[in-house]
Amino acid sequence: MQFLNPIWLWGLTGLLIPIGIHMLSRKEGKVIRVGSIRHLEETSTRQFRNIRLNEFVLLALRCLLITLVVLLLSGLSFTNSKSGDTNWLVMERGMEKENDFRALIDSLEQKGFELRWLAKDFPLLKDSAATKASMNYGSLVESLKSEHAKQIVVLSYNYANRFKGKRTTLPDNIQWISKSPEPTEFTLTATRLSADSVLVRKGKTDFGGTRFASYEVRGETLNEEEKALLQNQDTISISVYGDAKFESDKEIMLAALKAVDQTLPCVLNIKTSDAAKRSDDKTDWIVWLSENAIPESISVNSIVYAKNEFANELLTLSEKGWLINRRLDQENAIADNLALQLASILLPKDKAQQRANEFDRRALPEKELWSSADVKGNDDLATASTSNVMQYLVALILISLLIERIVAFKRNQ
Amino acid sequence: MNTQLKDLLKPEILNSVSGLELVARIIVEGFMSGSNKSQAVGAGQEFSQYRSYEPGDDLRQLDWKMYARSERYYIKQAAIETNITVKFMLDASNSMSYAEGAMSKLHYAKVMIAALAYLTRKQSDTFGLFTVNNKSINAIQPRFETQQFIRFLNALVNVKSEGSWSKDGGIEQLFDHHGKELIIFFTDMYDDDNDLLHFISRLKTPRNEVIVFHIMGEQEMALSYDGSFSFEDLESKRQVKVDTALQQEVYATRMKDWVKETRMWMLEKAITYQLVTMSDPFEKTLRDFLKVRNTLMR
Repeated sequence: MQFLNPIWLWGLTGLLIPIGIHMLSRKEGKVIRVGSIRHLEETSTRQFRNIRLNEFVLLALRCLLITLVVLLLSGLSFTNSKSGDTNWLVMERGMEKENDFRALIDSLEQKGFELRWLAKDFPLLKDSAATKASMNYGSLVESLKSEHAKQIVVLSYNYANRFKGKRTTLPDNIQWISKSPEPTEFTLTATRLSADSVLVRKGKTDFGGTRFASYEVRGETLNEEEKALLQNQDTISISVYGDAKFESDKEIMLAALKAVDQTLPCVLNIKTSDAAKRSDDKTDWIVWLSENAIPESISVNSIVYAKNEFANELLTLSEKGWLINRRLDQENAIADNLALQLASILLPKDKAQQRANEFDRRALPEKELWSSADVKGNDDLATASTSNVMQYLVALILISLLIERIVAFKRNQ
Repeated sequence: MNTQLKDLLKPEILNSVSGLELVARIIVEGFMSGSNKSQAVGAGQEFSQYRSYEPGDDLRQLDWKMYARSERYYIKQAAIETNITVKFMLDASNSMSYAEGAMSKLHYAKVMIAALAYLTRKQSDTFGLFTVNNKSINAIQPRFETQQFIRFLNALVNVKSEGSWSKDGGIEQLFDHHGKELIIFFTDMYDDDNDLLHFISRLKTPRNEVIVFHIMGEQEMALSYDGSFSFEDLESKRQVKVDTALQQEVYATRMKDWVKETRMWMLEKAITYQLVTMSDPFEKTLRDFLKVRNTLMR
């Protein structure tokens, strides 16, 4: 609870007005001195009590009114960081094993901090195993803000891929302790090239970045991790159809495909034929280089020439498949990395990508984590909650004014 | 009550001797303009008429000069100068300080007493003043002196309403009456355990006349206040809370009954009882007074 214009709180001295009037009116003019009261009877006190109660209610209502108006003027607002009485130690998965933080975690736990995972809904450490679902740090902080804990200590690795969207501010009650993750090595893929030779692609990742390298090793030397990942080469059949007019394009396409075949651990079965003499052989991909449109009947994955002067990219993905936007020649094939693009189109890599993400250890430097407090976004938040309070205050004022009028009217009757 | 007089009925005027005298004179002179002579005739200084001698008349009253002129026996008659004693008694208890507007009952009583005293002085009656409350009993014994009126007014001005009606000693001196006298008692009749009635009944003897002026306020009679109030008894300081709207009718009938009862009680004792509300003109009071005085002279 805070006030935007606390000087208006002096308006609370205005409470003296109704109280003073009440006091004065109680004393003055109510007693009539008469010679004798012998002919008067005490009117039942119930009625008088009613009147007095009525007066009291009126007084209270008027005081309430003044208080509300003063609060409205002084700009009462509630910030979301209502401090509760619990302390939290929120840690990211893996932190519990860090020797550097062992002492810190133990001492905070003794001080009564609750140990929780830095994950959705912040499960207690002892209640559940660490959840794997990674979550955006920004949204985690937002939900931490709404938890009303008194003090929150967060131990985090600051993984770069978990900072998404707009940067948020870190509230005062959250202390964010970060540690650069240890560099890790992992095997991305292991592909059997021949009976006793395996191509292993390894990744090395640390807070600075992730680098991949491929090694060809003998089958016997594989470790467990690599054996688990071991798989045969992908075999992809590709049919390339081309017009006579597109002979040069076809050559470049074939060269690019060959480059892919030679570089990557996969087998490409490439067939070429004239576009007019198309056979219905079963293929995984069709490359269609012709002025004529590709027949409707073809439903496999396709890479089709379709002239589009306005496209920036050489290859673009459309609803039907990939489109080649320009005529191919040596220049643009090299400039646009045709072979690389073809490789990324042809070879499935979801699994490898997922595995790479899993081991990703890139981290953001600490000073880039949070936006400073006076960023506009925060103001929006504050005004939003403030105006909310204002609305309630105005509504309350109107209601109490109404009640006050009704009570006053009843009293006068 | 004319407006000229109304302007004078202010506490600062009524609280000075000359002011009170002025008010009294204005009231009486205004009332007496046109005057009244004594109706009774008999032996006296001022000639009234002759009448023929009848056997049994006192020979001393024969007018021999008239006989010399007319050889008839005449008896000379003169207006009788009747001298009576008027005793004003004033209830000076605190309940008399009940006020409506600027005028309290005590002030009203003072003005009436001053006016009546002025009138009695004019008629060469003797008059005295007795004010009673439980703190002090003031007595100006009736005398026929020139200074009497000023002394009387001075005592009257200094009367303060305080305390209650005297319950114990000192009151006995007021019953010391002899001969023809007229006792005029101003009170609001708010007594305690009928002590006022007891006092009044002891005032009355076969030879004197007693007039009781019962002074009431108009609002007091009808309880014509608006709303709920606390009423405080001036003497006992007790308070009651009253919703006047609820009680007005009951109160008014109760008042009327009380007045009627008092009147009947006075009638039984042959005491003249006059209910005066403070808005009544003073002339009415004077007329009542004169009426009673005439009966006393027979």
